[in-house]
Amino acid sequence: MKVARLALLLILTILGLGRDAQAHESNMSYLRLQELEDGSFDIVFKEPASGRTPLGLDVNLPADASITRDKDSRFITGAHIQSWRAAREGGFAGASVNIGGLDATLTEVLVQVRWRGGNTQTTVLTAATPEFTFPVAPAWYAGLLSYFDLGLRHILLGIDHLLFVMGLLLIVPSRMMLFKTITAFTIAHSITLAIATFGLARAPVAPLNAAIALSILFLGPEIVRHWRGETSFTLRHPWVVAFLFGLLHGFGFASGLMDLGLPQGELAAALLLFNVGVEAGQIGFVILVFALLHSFAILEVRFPRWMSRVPGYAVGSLGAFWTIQRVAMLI
Amino acid sequence: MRRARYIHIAGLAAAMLLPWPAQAHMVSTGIGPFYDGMTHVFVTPLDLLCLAASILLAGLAGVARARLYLAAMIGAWSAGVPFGAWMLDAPWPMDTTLSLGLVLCGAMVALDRRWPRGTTLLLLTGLNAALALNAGAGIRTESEDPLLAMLGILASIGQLSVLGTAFAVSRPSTWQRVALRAAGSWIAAIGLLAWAAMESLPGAAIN
Repeated sequence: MKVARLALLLILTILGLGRDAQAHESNMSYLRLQELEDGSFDIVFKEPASGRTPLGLDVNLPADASITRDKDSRFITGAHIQSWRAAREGGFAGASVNIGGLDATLTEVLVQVRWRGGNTQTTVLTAATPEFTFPVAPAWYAGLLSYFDLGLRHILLGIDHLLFVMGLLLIVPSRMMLFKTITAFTIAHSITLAIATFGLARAPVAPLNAAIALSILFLGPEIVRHWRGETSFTLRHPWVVAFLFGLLHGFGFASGLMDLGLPQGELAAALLLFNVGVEAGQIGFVILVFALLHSFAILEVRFPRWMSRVPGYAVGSLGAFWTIQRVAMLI
Repeated sequence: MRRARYIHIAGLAAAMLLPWPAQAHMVSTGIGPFYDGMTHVFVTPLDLLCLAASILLAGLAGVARARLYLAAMIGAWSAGVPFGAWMLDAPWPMDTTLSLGLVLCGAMVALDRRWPRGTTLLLLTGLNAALALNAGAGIRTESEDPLLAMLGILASIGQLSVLGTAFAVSRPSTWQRVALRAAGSWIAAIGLLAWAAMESLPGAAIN
């Protein structure tokens, strides 16, 4: 009950994310620049598309770069892919590439530069930083940090994942059970994230999103049972439920990585750093909830009964809303 | 109590999850206007100092008064940000007022007396309402989605205020209280320097 009271503030915070979260599903663009022996670059740009209508992003190379092979353009399911070749006198070191139109979207662009020596440099461009500069000597860790950043952003904008964690926090009876539950959730989503990233299995996005919504809806009635002092398998063993639904959420996390077509050589590092980023965001969220709970206890704040129940109803209501919305999209 | 302090420190660290680049007014985090709003207070030094001074002043007043002051601060922000966003065309030039408010709050923290409730309430409400009005006006002029940015600001202010006030209230030892008073004296000194800079350098702004 205390958790419910004190989580109110966070639920209201999360509710504010609703509009951002709609763009949470796989919406990333991918720019790959492969350096050739003569110093020119083979360029592949993949952006989201609805049917044959692309998002409308432009890759703006330096003004003094020349196109040495014309653009080849094609559509695949949900994406528009362009490829061409460009060269620049004196090479591209120190030159900048800008993504036009990025500032008008919530999309991110994962840029990957593959140097002819075998090194790969990865960075993420956003609306705030739509430009990338070719370094003279890329730092070995620069690309890896991008995957951490990507994972962190994924969880911060993934209101559905955070709401599921919130639902779990509302039903766990003790700190030890909380530890077991969060650990089970982490292990489970790490397993499926790895499976999906290595291409061993893949869940179709639309049914997966509906199932994730259903997992949140599932927690709603359990929270009410918890309030009433009743019991159930979920309330007795929340870590089992966290593990089972965590498998689903892992496929959801993977949507942030596996659509990028990452090179095989970087998959393991990308997976690890992405997962660490997701975990950092998730643990930060849990710590914040409990720090607020503890603070309210110190300040002896007592919320009215109706207010203490808002978080639980918010979990159930949003779970129901998303389930209906996402199932309707399937039909 | 030591564990409680660690929880608060961890919570504050979690609230400040990432070090954002220093930038005046609304910052663009690249992950949407809600998070732009959440980081607003961290990139506006005057806002952050005034909030810190308010939190310390509230926290040193004991649990019952801290609750009252906390409610007043959050209430001032909750009313001031929407009012500023919808009614003000641009932030008001009130750096001088805010820096003097900072001096006053910092000095009250440093002196650590049992200040009259009404006076403290008025000071905290006024100072935070002024900050909130300007934050709201900044949202109106600079954010692509004012509603989300506003929710972000209120979420971060609410979380920081609750965590910080509880931390100050739970001061378990004398030396920690002395450390909080020292922090108050530093805040007052910064406010005084800021005020002097603005008086001697026309056009200077610290926000």
